[in-house]
Amino acid sequence: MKILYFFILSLIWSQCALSQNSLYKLKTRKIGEWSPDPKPNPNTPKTKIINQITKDNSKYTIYIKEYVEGKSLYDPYAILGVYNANKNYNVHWEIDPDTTSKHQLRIFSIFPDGSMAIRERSCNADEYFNYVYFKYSKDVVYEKEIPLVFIYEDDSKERMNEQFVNEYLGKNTVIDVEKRAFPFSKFRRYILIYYIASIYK
Amino acid sequence: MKTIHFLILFSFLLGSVSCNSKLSYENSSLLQWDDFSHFSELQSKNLKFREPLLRPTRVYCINNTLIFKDDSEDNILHQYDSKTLQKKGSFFTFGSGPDEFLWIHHCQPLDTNIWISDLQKRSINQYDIKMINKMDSNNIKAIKRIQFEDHFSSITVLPNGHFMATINNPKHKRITLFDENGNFIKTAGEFPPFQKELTPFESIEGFYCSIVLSPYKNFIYLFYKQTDLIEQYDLEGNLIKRIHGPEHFFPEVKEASKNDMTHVSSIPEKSKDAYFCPVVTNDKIYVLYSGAYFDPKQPTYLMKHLFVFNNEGTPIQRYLLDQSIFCFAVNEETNKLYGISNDPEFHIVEYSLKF
Repeated sequence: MKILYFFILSLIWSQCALSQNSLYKLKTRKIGEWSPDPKPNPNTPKTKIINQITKDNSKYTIYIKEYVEGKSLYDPYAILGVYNANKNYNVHWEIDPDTTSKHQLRIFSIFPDGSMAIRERSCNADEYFNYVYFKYSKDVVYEKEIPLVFIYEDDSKERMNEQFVNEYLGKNTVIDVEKRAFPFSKFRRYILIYYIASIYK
Repeated sequence: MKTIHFLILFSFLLGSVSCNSKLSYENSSLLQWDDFSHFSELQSKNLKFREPLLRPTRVYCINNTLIFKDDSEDNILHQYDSKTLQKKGSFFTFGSGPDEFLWIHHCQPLDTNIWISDLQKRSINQYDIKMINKMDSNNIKAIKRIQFEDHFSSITVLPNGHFMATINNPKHKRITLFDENGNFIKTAGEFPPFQKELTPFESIEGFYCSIVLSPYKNFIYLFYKQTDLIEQYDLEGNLIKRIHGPEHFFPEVKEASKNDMTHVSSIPEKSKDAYFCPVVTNDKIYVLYSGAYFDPKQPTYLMKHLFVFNNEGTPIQRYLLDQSIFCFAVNEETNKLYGISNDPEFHIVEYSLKF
């Protein structure tokens, strides 16, 4: 009898000891009819972000934050991606702000491990989205919000914000906050994509 | 009292055995551990590369050259001489450009070419092996670039230049054939039928597999990841046989809906991992076997069982590795196996294969 009990117990134990996580990656889909996974419009300009981790035990987190009239909106999906890495690791990812549908913005963040984050924003019929990149250093800057992309809403007819951005940029193609502060308060609604790097223990 | 205890335990054991034995795949033969005519335990050697990589996640061996995938560097692929362990160069960058890759899924050598598939871009590029060996990374241009409409989960190039793939779309059957330009030809076969009915999404997720061309280029093999099943197809997409084993388990996945989303998930302590990383050489197919239960609290990808099959799918050799690995390549000239482990940190191990 004892031998039988032991046999059963050892079976249970050996199954527990074998427990491991699956290699397998599961996906989530919408209910109902199958639809292809979303992808950016082929005409969307694609931009690579490359940062080099300069310290061991670094955590590099990418965020998206929306502001309306100077206030940031709460977003449970604010984190686009997280890297935990040591010194000399190169963080690569691609950001594709798809503005081809005029009143619907789709922001694709694509990572080398095959994962992709998509965030969507809509605007009124007489408005549209535009965006401009920030200048950033390849070496990671720690304990600071480092802006990467500035996406703003603008009036389709007046295009005042676009004019303002063009005047600010002058001959430059990216915002350089080190050279000149950028007046975010001029914009009623805008979205920032940025990273924060820190050291974890 | 003792008799009652015995009867209860006996009924419990009998019940569990009979429950499992009810399930079987149609048209399948059972594979057992001792069906492999040879068994060896292999001792590993840790390799010290002169310029080691931080996080290699894939390795391929082509003409005595080891090609590692590591996207933590400036380039994604890195070449090393397998004898001197010296780095020969790096090539391809992350990105959406024509010769850039977002997520390299597989590098398949075929005749004088190497085909590199990208799951994120839904594409496959053809390169001349000689061009890659020249290592002038800035001048590597694809001979051909094929773009697919649907997301594929695994793809292989056939000898006639067509493609056979498994597609993440319930409208497609088990395998789908495309012509040399990526145009749809037909979808064929069926998800392995057994007594339990799965939803379309559960079938896609539960029957996730790797697809490879056989050594003599006359069959296609599907190695399943969530059930210990191997399927052999001809190049027209007709099923030839199924091999189920060595532990004879089935996909354990569950579909659930929350808000407006459907989610298919593995089930802790029920879902098991099966076959991963099949590698095809001139006359053999090597594949890692796991058999481990899914446990989200203790994630690991490492496997210590290595199975070898011949072109016809006959089991010929079984190895037990002293260091578990999650990916490997085989150099046929030297009979060396190069595996990647991440325990405790990323490193490369070498095994001398015995036959």
